[in-house]
Amino acid sequence: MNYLTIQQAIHDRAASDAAGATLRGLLGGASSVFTKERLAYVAAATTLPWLVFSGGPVGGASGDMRDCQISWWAYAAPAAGATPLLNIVSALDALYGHANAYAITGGRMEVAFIGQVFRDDKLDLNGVEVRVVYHQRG
Amino acid sequence: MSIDLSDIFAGLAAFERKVLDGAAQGLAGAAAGITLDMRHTTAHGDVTGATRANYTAYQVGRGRDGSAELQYAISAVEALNPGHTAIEPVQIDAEIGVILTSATDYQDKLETENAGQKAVLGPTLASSLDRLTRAAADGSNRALS
Repeated sequence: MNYLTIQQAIHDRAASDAAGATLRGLLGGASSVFTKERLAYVAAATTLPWLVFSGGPVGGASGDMRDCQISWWAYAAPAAGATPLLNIVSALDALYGHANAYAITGGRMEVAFIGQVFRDDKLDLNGVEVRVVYHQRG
Repeated sequence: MSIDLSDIFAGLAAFERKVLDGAAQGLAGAAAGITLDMRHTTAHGDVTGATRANYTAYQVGRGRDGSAELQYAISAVEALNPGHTAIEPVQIDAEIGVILTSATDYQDKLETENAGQKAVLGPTLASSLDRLTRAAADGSNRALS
């Protein structure tokens, strides 16, 4: 399976698959999940919290174990405090966590990193990063 | 009857030293390559030159604490963008490791703002894990051959 397909599958699991319904229920609405490339064009009216997908690098040489990493960046209004973001983190962890049986054929997926809640001055929002890694041989 | 196992233990200890020292050498070489990669990043611009110049990856453990590399990073920031130096202590609970770092006081923002649009350390680490693992294994193999 090529890595664009894998990234798409990781994205869809949160953005549109039935498994991601609980997660999406924590967001502002159906349009609150989008890619990093759209971040600059998202209307201020898009309801918070947001979940922003960022495709990441693929490490390792062909024939070795290769890691495909993506990041989900969750954003919420500072006035809402950390709770909405932490709830989203928990939902992402449940969706991709190692204990979860979910895996794309031929590889293994898990949450590799959960960041601290930070203030994004550019967006004037609070954010947090959750990194998901997919391991595959070759 | 008693059996003297001291030679066996000494041999195992020597084996362990070779494996770890070899892995450390392998990681040091890989870290140097990662440093160059980060200093050529196109993820962001660099008005003063301090950001690219100070990116550093270095191997720690087995007698190396990375202080020389970290001092290089600090000096680069002080020379090119005075007043924007920031470092924090880290503790690694392992025999050997590699640290990727930047000594600027704005790196956190680069790593996180706009969904990591200008991030360098995070993506580089993510894409280097296999490279580092292989370098450590190759280093141990060389030390044992």
